[in-house]
Order: sequence, then C-alpha cells, then structure tokens
Amino acid sequence: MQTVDLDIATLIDGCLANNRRAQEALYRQFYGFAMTIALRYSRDEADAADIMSHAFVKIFKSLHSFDAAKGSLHAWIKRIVVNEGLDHIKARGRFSESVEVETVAEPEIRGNVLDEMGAEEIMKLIQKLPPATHAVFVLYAVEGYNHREIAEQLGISEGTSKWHLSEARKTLQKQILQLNTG
Amino acid sequence: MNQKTPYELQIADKLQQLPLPDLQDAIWARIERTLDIDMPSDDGGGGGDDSPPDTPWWGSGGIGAFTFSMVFVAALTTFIIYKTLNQSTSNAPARDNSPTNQYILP
Repeated sequence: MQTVDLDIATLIDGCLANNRRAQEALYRQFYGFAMTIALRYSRDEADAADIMSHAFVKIFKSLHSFDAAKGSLHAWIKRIVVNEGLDHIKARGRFSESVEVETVAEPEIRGNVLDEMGAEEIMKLIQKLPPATHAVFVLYAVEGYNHREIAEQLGISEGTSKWHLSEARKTLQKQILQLNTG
Repeated sequence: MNQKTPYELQIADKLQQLPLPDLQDAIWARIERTLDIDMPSDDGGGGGDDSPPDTPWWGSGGIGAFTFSMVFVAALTTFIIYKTLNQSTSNAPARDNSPTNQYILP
C-alpha cells in the first residue's frame, strides 16, 4: 500500500509540473475506476468517453487544489467524474420538474430476477430513464446519497428528488418484469 | 438516511461489474489534444516520441537567425559593391561608331 501511495504521489508531482507522461500514467491508472462511474451517467459509450475526457482535463487543471489531508485522491476524482456525469445528463433535458412527493414508492422486484440479468442489461434500462430520473436513481441507489444531498447537487427540492426515485423504481420494475416474462 | 431496497443493492453491485469499453487510448488522445491547447507542455509531449523537435536548416533559436542574417547582409553588401564597381568602369566614354555621328564631308 505504501508503495502505491508513493507512486501516486510521484505521479501527482509530475502532473503538477504539467508533465504529459505523468498525466497519461495517472489517467491510465484511474481509467477503470473513473469509467465505471462515467458509464452510470451516460447513455452509451460515446457519452461515457465525453464524460471521461472532460473530467480528466478538469482533474489535471485543478489538481493543485487537491489536498491529501482532506481525503483520498480516489474520492476527489470520483467527485469530479460524478459532477461531469451530472452536467452531461443535465445538458440532455429538463431537470426541474416540480412534482413532489413525501414518500417514495417501493415496488417489489424479486431478487432472482436480477440475478439472471447481466450488468449491461441493467445499465441499458437505467440509461433509458428520463434525464432527471436517471440522475436521481444513480445518485441514490448506486452512489448512496440521500435526498437532501441529491437535491443540493441537482438544484431541485427533496420532494422532487423523491418523486424521481419513485418514478425510477416503478419504471424499472415494469421493464424488468417485462423482460422476465417477454 | 438512504434506505435502498434489496434490489437496488443488487443493481449497485451489478453495476460494479460492468465491462469497460476499450476506449482508453482514444480518450487519452482527446485529453492530450485539449491539454496541448489549454496547458501546453514544454517536455516534448508524452506520446512516446523522444526525438528532439525539428530544427530549421539555419539552426535553432536566435543564434541560427543571427548567423543567417549576417550571411545575408554580407552577400548583399558584396553584390552592391560589385554592382557599383561595374557601373563606375562602364561610365568611361566609349567610342561611338554609330552612323549618325559620322560626318560626311562634302
């Protein structure tokens, strides 16, 4: 672990000196980690590539602001990729529906149905959700944010965040059951 | 508090296993292009090409330009002197044998 930390520290120094080789090495080291996140916010591979390229340019431009005492480089990079992913989703469509709910629907989906589905199949269903619903679902169900945090990030109310989560759950349940029976 | 349903936990787990597209090189090329514009690097780039940048035939930087301009000035000066000397030797009066200048005495 210490060797890895030293390697990353060396790479960071190189990136801060605007050394292209160091920047490329850092990018390749974090490609898998960042792409896994980018895919959750994208409609397809081209979208994911856009998110990745914009995110890494931001990473290299703002690396001087990274403070290892405040958190890990992984968390810092994740924050940037998520923000870029959200910007990408926002650019696709309206993001400010004002429907609000207090409680979120919890439709039932049997666990074994999802067992039979591959990761790509599930991702395709999520990618088909409307933009705001897509963003809320990923932030809540995958990234683990609560509605207050989601509302702050997306500039919506907590009630609207809950409504989108309800809609995501109902839509996904319907689509998964259709796939299972059809 | 975030209370995920059991199937959402499953979805989150599955999404960690998404196969990664083979776009690593293509995306890096895009990043590098943008960085070359926004944050040019003076380390010759990271594209694996270690050869020095091409230098013009007259040499690199200010020394080459100075040498070239000195050679040019010397050549121009030589040409001007040559032309001046040629002109001064050709200014001496020459015998004019043209027919109009020959007087025919009656």
